[in-house]
Amino acid sequence: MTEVGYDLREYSFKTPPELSGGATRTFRYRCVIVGAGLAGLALAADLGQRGVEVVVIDRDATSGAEGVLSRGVGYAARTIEIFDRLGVADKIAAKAVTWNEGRIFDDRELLNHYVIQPDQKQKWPAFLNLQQFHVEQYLYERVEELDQVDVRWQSTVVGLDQREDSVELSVETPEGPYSLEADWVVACDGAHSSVAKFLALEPSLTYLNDYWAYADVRVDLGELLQRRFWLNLPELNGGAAIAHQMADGCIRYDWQIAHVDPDEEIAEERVRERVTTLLEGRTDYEIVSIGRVRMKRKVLSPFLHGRVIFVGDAAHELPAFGARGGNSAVQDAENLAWKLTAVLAGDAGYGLLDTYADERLAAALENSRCALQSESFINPQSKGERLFRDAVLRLAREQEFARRLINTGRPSVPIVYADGPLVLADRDDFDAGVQPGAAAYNAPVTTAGRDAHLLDLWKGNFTALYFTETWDPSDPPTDEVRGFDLDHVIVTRDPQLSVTGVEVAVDTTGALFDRYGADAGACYVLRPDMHIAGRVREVSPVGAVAIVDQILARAEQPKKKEEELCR
Amino acid sequence: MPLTTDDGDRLMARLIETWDGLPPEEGEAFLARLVLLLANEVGDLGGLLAAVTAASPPRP
Ligand SMILES: Cc1cc2nc3c(=O)[nH]c(=O)nc-3n(C[C@H](O)[C@H](O)[C@H](O)COP(=O)(O)OP(=O)(O)OC[C@H]3O[C@@H](n4cnc5c(N)ncnc54)[C@H](O)[C@@H]3O)c2cc1C
Repeated sequence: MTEVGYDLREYSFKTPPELSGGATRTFRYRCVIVGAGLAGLALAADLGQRGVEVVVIDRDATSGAEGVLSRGVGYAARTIEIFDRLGVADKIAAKAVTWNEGRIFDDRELLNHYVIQPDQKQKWPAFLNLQQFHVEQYLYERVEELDQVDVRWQSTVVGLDQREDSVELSVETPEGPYSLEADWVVACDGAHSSVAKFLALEPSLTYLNDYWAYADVRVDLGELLQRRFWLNLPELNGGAAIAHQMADGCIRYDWQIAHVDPDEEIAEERVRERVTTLLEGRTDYEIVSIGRVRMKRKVLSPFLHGRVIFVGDAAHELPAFGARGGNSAVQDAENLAWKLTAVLAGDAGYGLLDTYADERLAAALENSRCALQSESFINPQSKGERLFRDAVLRLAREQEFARRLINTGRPSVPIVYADGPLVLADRDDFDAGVQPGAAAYNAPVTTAGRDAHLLDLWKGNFTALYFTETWDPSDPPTDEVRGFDLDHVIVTRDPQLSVTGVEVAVDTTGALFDRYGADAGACYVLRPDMHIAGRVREVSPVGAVAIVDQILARAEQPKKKEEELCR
Repeated sequence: MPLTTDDGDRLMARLIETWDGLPPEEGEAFLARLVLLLANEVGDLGGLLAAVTAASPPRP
């Protein structure tokens, strides 16, 4: 907003086929994504990897919010796993900083210093901090490698017309306007979604009485600054502040501002004053970027309107505590990608897209519940919120349990999808393990003589995991169910087990048998988004096929007829 | 384990004495801290939520 010290890559406008060769022409595409932010790029990469041709349209010329602002910071383990599948996790991890400690202060008094014990079995750290535009740039570089994806920068969608069996988009560009037709449009156009406006959709929206300024500050502190959270700062009239290390030697500072004069609060002089205080008097720093934000809660329900699908901030926005916005945008995209791929290939109907809308709405509501609870602690408004928060802060000085109640943002964890079309409740006896609907648990394995992690074997399809020490199924594994690929992986503790035709992963640490509750044998079926579809005790491909068959049959029942939804 | 009558009497006396010794604006904060400490002793969420309901005034 005020100052830009980051060097963002500029993406040029390239003449699209519509504007090439004299007269303006109109083409029809299978899928058009509006917005090349986190959601749009993650979805484009996933669809592209699945062989789907997709056009992405973005009005900006850079990655990052309108090219100026640094925004998201923190990425959770589940999101990094998705980035891994999309081929960008290594780049992100190499650039990012990782952290597992935090300090919470009441004014300047340390109330809690916590250390999150890393799960040594995981391939990726629990949290990575990286400026969002870097993540977007890596995603863009990835989609550039995919022939299926056509990203059109500096192109603004200015109109949308939903028809019986297609959607028409009007686009403005530096070389003039054109229009294009699409079977499906995915609105990834962020907080102020134009697509929602074109469809005259009114999300449920509440602006909260909570305003923050934030600055990216380049400073050499000699060590990484792990998360700090101050409550009740006198210089902020009792407001809160946060500091967090990012890449490029930068720290993100966020601090609560009174809404009376937000512009004054982000004037450079005022920002320097705040940052100098937070840095305890140091002045040898550089301010790289300044922004401000008002917390709000927005949910657009449903996420599916005819042939237009909403993803990420276009569908939902939450208070930032717990870093859920960008993480859930990427998780939305991964839930949608395989379903849209199947619908475009004619392997599934509208009912499968309904499950996207339902599952990710449930995720948004769960994220909203968590974020609002943190909001209530950080920014108490009612008498009760203040009373109990202050009670917790007082007790936290002596009582460990009260320190745990200090809620300055709970880390974002992946949702467990509830029983529904794509999640089968247990029929067999499982008193432990990874429950149906949860994200698959990862751990080290050896496979074909090399070290890997279990989920490295995952190829984007339904995948049956057979936990067993023996293998002699009566029928050979089927590799297709209702048009969907089904992969098979044997997980075993027996390093000698040798099977032809099926991949074998040796659970070298025993963590997989343990976490999947599989001592007595088990068959788990993972969906193409790595959430558990269902599980049975019997170890046989027939059982796995039955699970896939059953959930796909259930997802085929559309909630509403497709025709009704289009207009 | 339920309180014995004798222990209950002692607790009542102590609660009243503490409350009456507090300046009026500190009473609520004291009760809030007490509730949290006791909740941690009890631990069982179902039981705690039932207690919150039982302590709430009946809805008109
Ligand atoms: C200060 C701050 C800190 C945050 N920290 C975190 C964090 O730590 N972790 C986290 O997970 N999230 C965080 N978030 C939230 C995160 O930034 C968003 O949730 C995320 O950007 C959502 O991604 P998106 O792709 O849905 O939308 P966006 O990233 O906003 O992308 C939308 C894209 O659509 C384009 N567009 C819009 N309209 C049109 C149009 N008409 N035509 C063509 N293109 C259009 C825009 O140019 C933009 O590129 C933070 C946000 C802020 C403001």
